[in-house]
Amino acid sequence: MTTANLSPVPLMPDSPLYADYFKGLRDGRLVAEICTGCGQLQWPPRELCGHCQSSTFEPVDVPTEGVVYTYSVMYRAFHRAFADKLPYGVVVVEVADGVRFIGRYAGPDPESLECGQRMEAVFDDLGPESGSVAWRRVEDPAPASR
Amino acid sequence: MVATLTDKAYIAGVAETEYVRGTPKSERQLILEASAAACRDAGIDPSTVDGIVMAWKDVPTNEDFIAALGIKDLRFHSHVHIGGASPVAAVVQAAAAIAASLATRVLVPTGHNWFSRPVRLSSMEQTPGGVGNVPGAEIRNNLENPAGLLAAMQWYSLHANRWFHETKADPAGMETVALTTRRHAHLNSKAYMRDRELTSDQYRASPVLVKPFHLFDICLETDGAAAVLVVSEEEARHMNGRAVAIAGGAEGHAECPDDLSTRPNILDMGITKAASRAFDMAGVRHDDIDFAEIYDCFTFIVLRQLEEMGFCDRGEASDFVSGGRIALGGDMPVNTHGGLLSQAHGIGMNHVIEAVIQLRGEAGPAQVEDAHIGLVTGYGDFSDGSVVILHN
Ligand SMILES: [Zn+2]
Repeated sequence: MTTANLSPVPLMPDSPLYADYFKGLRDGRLVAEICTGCGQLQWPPRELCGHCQSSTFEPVDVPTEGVVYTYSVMYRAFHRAFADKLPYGVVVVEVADGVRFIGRYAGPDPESLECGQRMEAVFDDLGPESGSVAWRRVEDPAPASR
Repeated sequence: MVATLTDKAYIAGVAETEYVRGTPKSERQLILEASAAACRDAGIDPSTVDGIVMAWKDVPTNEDFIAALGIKDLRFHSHVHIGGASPVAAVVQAAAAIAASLATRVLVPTGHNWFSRPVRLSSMEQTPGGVGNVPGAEIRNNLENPAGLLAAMQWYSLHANRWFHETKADPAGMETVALTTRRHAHLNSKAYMRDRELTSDQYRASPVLVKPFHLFDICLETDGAAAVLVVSEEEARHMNGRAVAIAGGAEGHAECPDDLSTRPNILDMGITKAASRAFDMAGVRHDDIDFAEIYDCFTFIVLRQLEEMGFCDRGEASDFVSGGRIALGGDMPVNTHGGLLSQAHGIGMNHVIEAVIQLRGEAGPAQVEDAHIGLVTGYGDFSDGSVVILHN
């Protein structure tokens, strides 16, 4: 048994490539990178732009609503942090043409997830220490305010 | 003119350890033992091996092989790291090294203690970065793990669920693959599931671990190692007459090979590119394939590979596998040994070995009649693909 297994979420936001993304989540924004060399949007972040090989990027806000491109529903946990959340959903949401963000599904009834459903980002699902964007269905009733 | 590997190299020896759940032996020892056994199967002294293409694993090192096999003059070695696509790609690389006269007797080994490893892929104890040898570690660690996506069956479910949505594919094909493969395992004395029946009722009653995968859509976790010996045409002529020729082969990588979520089309796979290259090099067509050993870490990925190789259109593999076509006795038997689903997780080297055994005519009760041309695939990481076509 290692202590790593006991952390609340299996989170390793350890890469400077993701600094803008995690800062955005804390501010309630969804942030990708834009290449200053060619203007191409890049996600996920990488050292080099695959179009022009530039290595300078600037953060850029992307829409916080989109459509489910694909998804999954888990009936088994592969980490203790998720053992009491079963079944839970993971969604890949397309927020702009070809730009997709993976995140935890935070709305009701994950077993009814389907491709094509409209989603909006929520930024509070696992607390301030979390780096996971989460999503809820636009059509579902808004959750009670906290 | 396109350069070709056709009939430049032969698989002259094959061997696998027992496939078990629980072993006192290290992976290194098992892989070295399988390698020595593959040499014996070919009838050569292991010390005369002059090339090694290590599939997937970093250990044993070339030094380990030299020490254990007494190799006197290793002239070529490399490592192939594309997950379950590695063994087939490594066989092709061995053939290329032989065609280029870099070596004449090339071992292609692999192995893994899936069951005895500290953290099984099916367990709740996954740690960030703990899978090992998986590309895109930063994507996994920063984006996927915090969302609760940590294991292979979760990654591939993203592909499967989009496939069902986009093509309206019939999920019944997954059950067909699971049950057909299990029946083949009953004919294989080396299959972990040789004595365990799997009925349609059992399949359907088994729990869904990750949508859409029932327990029996997911491969076994076993311990073991396997190796093949690839030799030059001239070497093969002097051997035991059981050598099987490599007609063609290729590997392929999809766009965004380290990430399924952001791949422009998640249905695009490495084998989408590799298959036509392998068919063209071998000079054969789909109808010419007598049997196929298709990488089957999940039932659905067998269906997807059949589609991406062009045996049928996207979304139609369930129809293709129906009516007994992929069972022994059918038009194109698939995974005649039981595959990863019901023989063992030999990282697909067991698929290469089964193809050789079929083409030698040594498959006993599982022998495909008039087997002359066999196709083997590999699938690994985030849809890397490899194909090799063999003939006797
Ligand atoms: Zn650029």
